[in-house]
Parts: sequence; C-alpha cells; structure tokens
Amino acid sequence: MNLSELTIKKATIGLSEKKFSARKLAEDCLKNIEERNKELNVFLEVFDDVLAQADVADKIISSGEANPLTGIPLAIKDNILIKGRKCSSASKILENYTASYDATVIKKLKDAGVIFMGRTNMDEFAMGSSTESSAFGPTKNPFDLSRVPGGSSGGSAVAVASGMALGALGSDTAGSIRQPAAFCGLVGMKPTYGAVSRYGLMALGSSIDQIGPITKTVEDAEIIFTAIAGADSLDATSVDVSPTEEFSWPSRPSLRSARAGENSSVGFTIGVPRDFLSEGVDPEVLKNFEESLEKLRAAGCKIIDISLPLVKYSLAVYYILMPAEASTNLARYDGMRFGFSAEAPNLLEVYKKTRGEGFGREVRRRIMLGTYVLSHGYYDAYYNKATAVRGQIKHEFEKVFEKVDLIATPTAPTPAFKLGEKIDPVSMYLSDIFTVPANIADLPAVSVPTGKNKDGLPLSFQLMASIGGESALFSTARILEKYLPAGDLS
Amino acid sequence: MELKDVEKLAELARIEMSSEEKANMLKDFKSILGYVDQIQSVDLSTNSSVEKLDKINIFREDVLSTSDSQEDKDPINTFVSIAPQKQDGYIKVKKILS
Repeated sequence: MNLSELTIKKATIGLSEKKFSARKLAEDCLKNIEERNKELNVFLEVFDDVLAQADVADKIISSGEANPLTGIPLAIKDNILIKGRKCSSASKILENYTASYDATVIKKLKDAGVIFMGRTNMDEFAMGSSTESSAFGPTKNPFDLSRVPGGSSGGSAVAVASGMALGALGSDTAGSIRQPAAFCGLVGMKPTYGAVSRYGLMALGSSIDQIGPITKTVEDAEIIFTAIAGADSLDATSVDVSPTEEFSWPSRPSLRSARAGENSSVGFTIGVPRDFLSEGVDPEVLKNFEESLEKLRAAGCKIIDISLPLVKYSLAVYYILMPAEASTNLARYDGMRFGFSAEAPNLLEVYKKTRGEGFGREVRRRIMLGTYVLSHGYYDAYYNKATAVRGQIKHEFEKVFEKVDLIATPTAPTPAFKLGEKIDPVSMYLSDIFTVPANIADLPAVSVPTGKNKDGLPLSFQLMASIGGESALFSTARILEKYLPAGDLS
Repeated sequence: MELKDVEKLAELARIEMSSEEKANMLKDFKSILGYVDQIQSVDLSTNSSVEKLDKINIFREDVLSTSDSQEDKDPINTFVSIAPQKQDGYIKVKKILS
C-alpha cells in the first residue's frame, strides 16, 4: 500500500470492502516508522500494542459496526492524555509521567475504534513554531532534512506526511496545527474556540488553545473534526459546533446554504486584508497566494479587499496573554504532585531546582515573561491592555464578517525554514503572524496545501471563518484542493 | 529592565537559573518587550464598549459523578500513585516549618 497517498476516506472504503485489514494498515504504518522514525524523530514513543488495537478494530469491522474512523491509524501529539500511557509534552519535567485518565477527544476516538500509533514530538509544552524546543531533539522536515517541520505540532504533521499514520491530532494556540501542516504539504484545522473539548489537553494558554486535525485532505480533516467536536461537561468552555448539525451562529444566508452540499461555497465573498500582507512575506508565497485567489474567483467566489487595521497587533497581544496564562498553568509543575522532582534540602529549593532543571529554555523564558506581565506595577500596562486590545480585534473581525464570509491570507510568511535559523525569539514568534489572529479572535481556520516553491517546499493558503463557520471553511478549502496535481498529497 | 529585575522574576517564578542564563534572559526580554510594547499605541478611547471580553462563567454543582472519575474505582490512589514521594496513601512533601 502506498500510504503517502492513502487518505482516511479511501482507507475506510478499503477496510469496509475487505480489500485490506486494519492489521495490514497498521503494519504498513509501522514499517514506515521502522524505516524513517530514527532519521525524522517523529515519535517519542510508538505504542507496543498497535497490532492488538488493529485486531480489535478488525473485529468491529467484521461485525458490521464500523464508523468512518474504525481501524484508522492516528498519531497523537504528546500533550494529549491517553490513560495508562506516558505523556510528556516533550518536556524533561514530565518524562516519566503516566496519564491517569483519557482526554475527551481520546475517549471519543477510542469509541470510534481508532488505532493509536504513538505520541508525537512537539515543542516543549507547545511553546514554539519549529519543534526545535523539544527536550528530545528536533523533528526534521521530510521534504528537506535540513529544515524544520514547523511547530509546535511538528511530529504530528511529519507522521502524516511520511505515511506513519493516516491522520493526527495537534493543538493550536497560535498556529501550532496550521503552520506545521503548511510546512509539510498537509491540511491543518483549528476549530472555533470551544468547539472541541480540551479536557485532558495539557494547558498552554487556556483562553486560546484548541485541539484539531492534521490530515492529507480537507475531507479527512472534516471526518476527524466531526468525531471529536461537541460540548463536554468536563470543559466548561466547550460548546456545540458541528458541521453536520443545524447551528445558529452564521447569520449570512450564504453561510447557511453551505451546509447544503459540496459546491455551495460558490458565491461566497472572501476578504483579503491587503495591508496586513504588505511586509515580510516571501515573494513566492505571495505569488502562490494570488494564484490561489484567482482559482477561487474562477470557481465563483467573490474576492474583495478588506481592512483590519488592528489585526497586526494580534501577535503582540498573544505574547502578553499566552505567557501570562502559561506561567499560571505551569505553576502546577512543582515536583510535589507528579513528574520530575529534584533532590534538595528544603521545600523552596526543591521547587526551584525542579523547575530550573525540568523546564527547557523557551519554557523558562515564557514563565518569566508571564510572571512579569502579571506583576504589580505592570499588570495594567501589559495584561489589561492586551485583554482590551484583544476585545477590539474581535470586534473588528465581527464587523468585517458582516461583509464577507471568509478571510484569506497565506498560512505562513515563508515556507519551512532551516533548523537553527531562528535563534532570536522574536524572529521565531513572527512565523505565526498570519495564524495567530484566528486564535486571538476565537475563529475557526484551515490551512490548505497549494503547491510548492522552486525548491520543492510546500506552500499553503489559510482561510478563516466567523465563529461556528466550519462548514464554510471546509467547502471552500475543497475548491482549492481540486487544483492540486494528483499524487502531490505529501 | 535590569539584571536585578530578572533575578526577582526568577525568584517569584521559582526557577533556578545560572547567572549566564539570567544575562541572556535580560537580552531576550528587551527584544520581546520591545516588540509587544507596540500595543501601547492602540487607542482604546474610540470604542470603549468592547473593551471587556464577552466571556461568561459556566458553573456546575460540585458533585462527584462517574464521568468525573471515568469509572476509576479508586481515584485517590490513582492521584497519589503518580506523586514523586508518597507514604501511607498520602503525598509526601518536605517540611514547611523548621
């Protein structure tokens, strides 16, 4: 089986028609892992019961009780808890931590009969855009081993791109699903804030984090999203947003009609924030973006220029709110309740040594930054101001969504960059400039592959929708996907 | 910001750091704060009605249910078992009063 071209959709059909078994599918994934995991550093752990899980799935398929994800091998980012298995957030401080419960998304996927291949490498505690901050070494980009796969969900993206799993879960706080998907020629989707339960996801920025899929096709992303979405009493921020169910938010008639079928995005109005794209974007990225817009226009979409004057502040807002929330969330790693604990003569020294030795450099930096922006004398100037600006940015998006159905930008300002290239933290942070606004404004967004540059590196197009506008995202992203040459999925 | 501010923050955040790292941290902070300081130029006076985020609290009764414990027969033992140090079913910590 050529796993680099096999989609979840095709695999489900193959399984139901008995063309191959779930066991065969899992064995082929394991073979690819065997061949390339050492070189690419994708999995922190490959589970030792993959074939046993596959046998269970085969029984379900034989009994006729299968659903679209039964027997499908998926890779899981190392910050999502699976009961009884290690979960480290790619950090030394949790290197030997074993999860004592299932995340809600895992429970749902278990019920669906998914095969969990293993836990994937990531930036430590999801803090990064390149997977280089992992305590267990960087993941490599399969298109060019000298380049990063993006991050923080870099391992999840490479697992799918190199045929080690058919799909993956990532988490997205500023672009951590969409940017690695973009760098690896895949589809990445960040749902509306609250659409997917975060119970069992290790928290980074609680007012921003979302779990979502990384897949080869838009249809596959929709299959996983549908399986994991929904309100959950264990995550008070979760709400029901499902692409298949009637849903009250989208007020524009064209958005409502999007549920009717595949081609219903014809006639959508897509806004392009030109001012925002004027600086720091790679010329090939920009050219590819314009070509993609033309394809959408040719397909019947209306493309208009829009102005979002405050959106450029999204990244600055993010680098105040996220460290503030992270410094609070990571206070739990104290060497007392779980994880690594350093030896020291007294309690205070245990705290300081545990956190000093257990956390990596980027994590220490963000905890310190968060402590600073929340400290007496700076709280108003930073945290409160950023919260207020966030409110204004959200308001600005709401106003624009009265005129347009979707907003388009490139997913990232450049294709995959070199390992070790971005030493200065701010230059690394700027890699999220186009993805972070959707997180700040709680919006759903998807990144879709749109060809390659002259060096063969994948390029990507991002669409954002209003809150709850997932169906519009999927139907429009499918139009772009049709233009990808066959066999160019990975 | 000065080196002594970084030292104070490291103390507050309970993170032990070498003096070399503190110096590097100061450099990084100047660069990051230099970037995020751009939000100070945003004028909030024109649209004060949306200053506050439209977040609401969602409460539930504080009762143990099976979905909370996910059919875990002995949640207390599960909780204690993952602690670095434990004794007689309790998490063991260093003494606080000397």
